[in-house]
Amino acid sequence: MTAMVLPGVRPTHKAGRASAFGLAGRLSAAVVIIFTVVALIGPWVAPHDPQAVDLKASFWGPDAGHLLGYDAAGRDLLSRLLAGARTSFLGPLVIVGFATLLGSSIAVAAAWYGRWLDSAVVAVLDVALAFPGLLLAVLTVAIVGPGLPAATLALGVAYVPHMARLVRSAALREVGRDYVDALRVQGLPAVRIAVRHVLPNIWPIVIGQAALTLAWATVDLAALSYLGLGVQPPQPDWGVMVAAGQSGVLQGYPAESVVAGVCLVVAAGAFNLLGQRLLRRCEGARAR
Amino acid sequence: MRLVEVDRLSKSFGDRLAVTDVSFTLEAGTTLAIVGESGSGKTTIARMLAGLETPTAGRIAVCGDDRSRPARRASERRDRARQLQIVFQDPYSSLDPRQSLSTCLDEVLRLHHPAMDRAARAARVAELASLTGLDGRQQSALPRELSGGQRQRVAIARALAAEPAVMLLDESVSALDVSVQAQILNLLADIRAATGVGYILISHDLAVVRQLSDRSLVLRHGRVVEHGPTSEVLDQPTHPYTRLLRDSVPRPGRRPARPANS
Repeated sequence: MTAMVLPGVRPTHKAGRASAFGLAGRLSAAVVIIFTVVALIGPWVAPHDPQAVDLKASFWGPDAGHLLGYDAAGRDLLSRLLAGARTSFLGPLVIVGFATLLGSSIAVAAAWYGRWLDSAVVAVLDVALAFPGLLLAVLTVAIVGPGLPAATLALGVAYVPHMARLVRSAALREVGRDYVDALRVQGLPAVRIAVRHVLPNIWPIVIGQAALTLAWATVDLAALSYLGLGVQPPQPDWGVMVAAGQSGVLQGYPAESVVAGVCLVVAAGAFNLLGQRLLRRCEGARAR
Repeated sequence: MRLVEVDRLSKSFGDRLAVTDVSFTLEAGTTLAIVGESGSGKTTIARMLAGLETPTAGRIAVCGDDRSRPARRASERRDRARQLQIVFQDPYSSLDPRQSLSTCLDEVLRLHHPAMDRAARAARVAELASLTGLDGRQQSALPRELSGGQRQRVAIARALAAEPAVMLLDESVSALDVSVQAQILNLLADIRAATGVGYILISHDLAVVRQLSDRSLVLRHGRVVEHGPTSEVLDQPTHPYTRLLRDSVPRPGRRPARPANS
């Protein structure tokens, strides 16, 4: 008992956390951190100008100054990969940030007011969930016109129902707890109870779902760019690079498509594992 | 002084009547017990008094202010909070798992006394904690680090922080074991003596009712079947239902009725 009150000494908690998170969880967390850093500083640490064309060097293999070799236009692949991390990796963050903010606001409002608002929200979510997010995004981009802002916004909106549905069920459970009623009887404003009490208590679920959604967003944004609806060439982006590398694949130089594809798979995989671990951990915490 | 006046209160959920024509009053410094089996409408009455449900018909007045309709303005909600507070049955869900006693009371004090500075609030938190018998470590502990009885003390301290004229105890000691229950009941009696707060005690436990309440009201299927001083209601019940409730309390020598053919 005395050990429990010593500052920082909570052996049972720490052990539970590490085992639930596991090696894969920690590895994916490391990958996410490294990719984020690269996305932030990539364009400045790139050894060459990612846009510098040198047609003589088309499809050249790796050499001393160019560790991954050159693409069809003789641009440095490593530099394009580093610079492309910004849209490919931070783009999904913006998408998911938007979907999380809007989705959880809708979900908490529906759980809070209940009755007809909740029924209406659930009906709209069910209809929206019937459409694949990527299809909605392609439709939107087809109407608004291609480009990164349009693709980001379209995917952000497309993920709102996924976020809202999960957060709503968690918020519903939390709003039903007596402390929420007690705070209402105390005269606390509804918005304050929702933002300062309900949301922080369901936050782990929101974060876990956000990480899972990041995995889909990474792949979907790259798919839009691949189709020519998202990031526009010659701007470096992993989805654009997979598409641009196709001619190389046919000519026996698959390096560009492969390196960009591997980056996408690793990023999506890391987000996915991380999200699963986070959700599993908060289920464990729920069961206590 | 009349703290609570309830006049022909009714509540229906769809076509199901939960509460029908219930009337009672509560005087300052006294305790009214509302007794009945599960589903008799006790908690619905409590939720209407607290403003968590809107009555279908009838009138509720607390400290002379009508509260049959939901509060419109924030200041009205705060005024109502200072008139009546509620302590729930389940001490495991009635506290925000992320808030210690100190942060919880600080938030309430800041709401009701915007003029209080940090030091004054801390002093009041310490005062409320000692009033409810919680020590320094328990003040900064999260709910999961406290026992059921300690959590219920935190919930009582939170209700007291608003300095209400009426406290609604909705089965507030039912979930606690007998020794802790006795401590909390003594604590509630002391608080009543010290502050003159009126209690509405909702309970199915007749021993608790006898110990704390002056008047009792027996509910069955949402209707009042008996109403009067607690000693009379429990010792000379006139309604067969009250007699049944009283005789259902286990005691030495009691032979529980067995189903036939067994």
